[in-house]
Amino acid sequence: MIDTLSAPAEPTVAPDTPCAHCGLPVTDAPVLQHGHAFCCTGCAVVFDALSQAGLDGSYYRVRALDTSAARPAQAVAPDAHVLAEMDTPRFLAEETTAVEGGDRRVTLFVDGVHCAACVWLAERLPAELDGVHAARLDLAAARLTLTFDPLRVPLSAVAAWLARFGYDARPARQAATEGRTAAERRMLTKMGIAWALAGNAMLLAFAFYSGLSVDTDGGLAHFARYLSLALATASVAYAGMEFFRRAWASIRFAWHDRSLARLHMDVPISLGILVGYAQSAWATITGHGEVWFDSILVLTAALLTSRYLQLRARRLAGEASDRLLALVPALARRVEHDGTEALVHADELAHDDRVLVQPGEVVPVDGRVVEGASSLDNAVLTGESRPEAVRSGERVQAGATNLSAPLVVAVEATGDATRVGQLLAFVRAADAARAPTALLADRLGGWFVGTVLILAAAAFLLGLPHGPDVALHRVVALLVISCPCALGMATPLAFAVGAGRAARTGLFVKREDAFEALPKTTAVVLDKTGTLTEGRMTVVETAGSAEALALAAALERTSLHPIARAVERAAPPNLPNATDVTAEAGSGLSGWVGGRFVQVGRPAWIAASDPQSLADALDRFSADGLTPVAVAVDGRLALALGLGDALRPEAPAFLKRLARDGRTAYLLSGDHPSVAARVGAALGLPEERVLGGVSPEGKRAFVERLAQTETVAMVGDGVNDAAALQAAHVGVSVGGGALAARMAAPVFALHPGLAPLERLFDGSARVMGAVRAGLALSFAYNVAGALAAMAGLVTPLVAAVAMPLSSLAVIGIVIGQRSFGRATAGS
Amino acid sequence: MGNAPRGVSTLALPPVTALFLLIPAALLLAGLGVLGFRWAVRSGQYDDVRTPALRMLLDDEDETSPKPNG
Repeated sequence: MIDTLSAPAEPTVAPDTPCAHCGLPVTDAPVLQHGHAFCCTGCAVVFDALSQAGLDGSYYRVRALDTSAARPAQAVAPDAHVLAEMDTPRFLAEETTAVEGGDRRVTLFVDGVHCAACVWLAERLPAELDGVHAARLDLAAARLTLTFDPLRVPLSAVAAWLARFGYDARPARQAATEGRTAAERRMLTKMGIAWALAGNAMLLAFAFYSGLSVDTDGGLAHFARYLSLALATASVAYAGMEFFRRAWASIRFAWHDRSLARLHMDVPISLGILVGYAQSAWATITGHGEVWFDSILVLTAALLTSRYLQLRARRLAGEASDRLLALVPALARRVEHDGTEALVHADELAHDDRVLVQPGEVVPVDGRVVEGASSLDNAVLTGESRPEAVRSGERVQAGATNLSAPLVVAVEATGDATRVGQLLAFVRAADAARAPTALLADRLGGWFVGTVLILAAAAFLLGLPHGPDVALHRVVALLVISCPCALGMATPLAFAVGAGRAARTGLFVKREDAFEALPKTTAVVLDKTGTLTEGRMTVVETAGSAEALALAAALERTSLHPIARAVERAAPPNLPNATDVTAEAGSGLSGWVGGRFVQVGRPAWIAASDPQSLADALDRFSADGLTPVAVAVDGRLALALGLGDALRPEAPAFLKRLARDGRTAYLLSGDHPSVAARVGAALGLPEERVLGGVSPEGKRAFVERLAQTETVAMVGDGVNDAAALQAAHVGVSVGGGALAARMAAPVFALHPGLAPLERLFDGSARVMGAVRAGLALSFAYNVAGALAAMAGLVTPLVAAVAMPLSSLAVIGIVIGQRSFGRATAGS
Repeated sequence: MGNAPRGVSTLALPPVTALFLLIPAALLLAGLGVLGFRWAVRSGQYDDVRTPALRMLLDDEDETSPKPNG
């Protein structure tokens, strides 16, 4: 019963014709313009903008060169408030830095950049706009660094120029990214130095492996040993500190808890490095015994490399969450006492100030309406997809979008004091407070330390008959060779590789424990609006003439109301023009189209009940939980529409799959219980697992309760789910809702729909498979190494060969993992 | 650093005093390399390793073309 009404297709264009801009099939509702076919108006607008600016030739040529290209940007409407904020003196002072010649430098996040052609287009800014002096785009981070003269070109003009080509530019709040870049650079330097020290120590060790010996040629051998000692001291003190610090923290933690299980994998790593170093230093100074410098230095460098890659993978996902854009505009139109309006920062507003909210704008504060009547889209906060009518005296909340008429609101709360502000504050706090879960390999740390110590004792006892020197040598050999290098690398590397591949398919995994938790998930809590459904009003049922649909759409084109948008989407392109359109808030529109009088709106407002069949259809739609809309032409009913939030086409298959995998699905919705029940029934969910009318706080409580007995994955979008996403073991936000809200989740998908979720479940299982294979291999290596050491077979040369080999084998397994295949990229 | 193994092959001969100079010299060179690497990291050359690869696909042909948007 739920099916989008498809517009009549143009007979000349096949549905699989590639869109002239993005190359995706145009499907059965193409947009035809200038003899080209497009999949949507967004693509058509960008194509138009490119050709008008004379940039189309180079853009499409450069894009064809870049095989990594996913889907190009579609036109976006720049947010008026964001543009206005960029030009305020306060923004210039806080978010830009001065460079020579009076210019300012600013970093913008640019959503929608994805390939070489985007780099080309964005870096053409200096040639296109006077006053922009330099533009550099960092594609992976989607950051554009601009040098510009604020006196000659306002930043808003730059953002507007980018928006014409489908790039949504927002100010990048700097502080957070700078700390991360510094940490990453520090780690990279450390890694480089560790490898340089290890390489040189290895070359010196070759001399010993080839026969250089303290006994035959004393001077040179001692010289080489002391040089190695110097290199090793530098490496252990500088690079090894990375492990010692974490090992020490975990030892103190374990001491405090009196539990060996608290010991971290860094403990055996540090133990191996320190014992190997101490023994080798002793041997160098006394001139007796063996040196292991090269093995421990290579080990340190290799482990640092995996740490660095992990950090880098985390940055990719983390940087995306810096784009946590203000959901609530930073600026508000304050109505002054003399009746003029002024743009001010929302945090400068005082209680009871009057704020004007134009149609299409987001309400910046919590407050009471003092003037005007309109309808609001409150989906951000409640998940309710139907617009809500507000009148003078009623409350409005920050984050809601004003749809039809100007409102004057008396301020009651701003910023973090608003309801949406409080929700976001909870999410931020929960995100920061959540201790990083010990990963699988780390949990084995205590067990590992215990085993190694027992084996070392056994090695000592077994060696004693050969003399205490031999026994001690075997213990050192055992501790060095069973230093869990491969084990320590397997998990971080597997996660880094998995997260990197996932990011390429538009899935950002910000917390690695998500990979571990996902395959174990037993309960999946799904939000309704925007997750299982499209998240917007769509014409789902229709009765009456197709001609009336075009007439209605011609009227509705003039309105921002979601019902109007839905009607326009359902209608064929190339609509006639409407004149004398008048809107009655909360009721509908009327006007003239081609000499005929057309009314679109609530059936009660239209007040025509002729013919009876259409009036009956309207009643039926409303009984089904749909929003009925009547269209009258010249005073007579011509069309009955039933609007609702259509189910995503892939939703039933997804739920079947969850059931097959043995996961229980729950449906939570802020929408009216009857609407939730209708969707639940359409999906075949049992009634007790479908809950409607749940507040954001209620969703969080539900997930917290469920998480006590099950491993819960929460899937949602929007701010109303944000708290629940944090409370679950894994929170996944999917496309559809506000980007800013999605990015607060531990895992978020760039693309709408449920397909990314399936990829996520499959991919995490594969990542965990690679982790387990890597762990098993390195365990086998460690057992073999320990046995060989006990038998006295391990010499520095054996260690120098066996240790890197085992690490390479693990790296091979982990990098070869078949997670998140690229075939589905750029959906 | 290729000198170290060669020194080994002359084991039967009297100690090669040149190695006492050559090894530290090689280490010094390696140290210079490390300094260069540190400079490259600090100046941000490793921050973005993807875009420059694409940038070379672009030509500078349009420098003199008229400005449609002024």
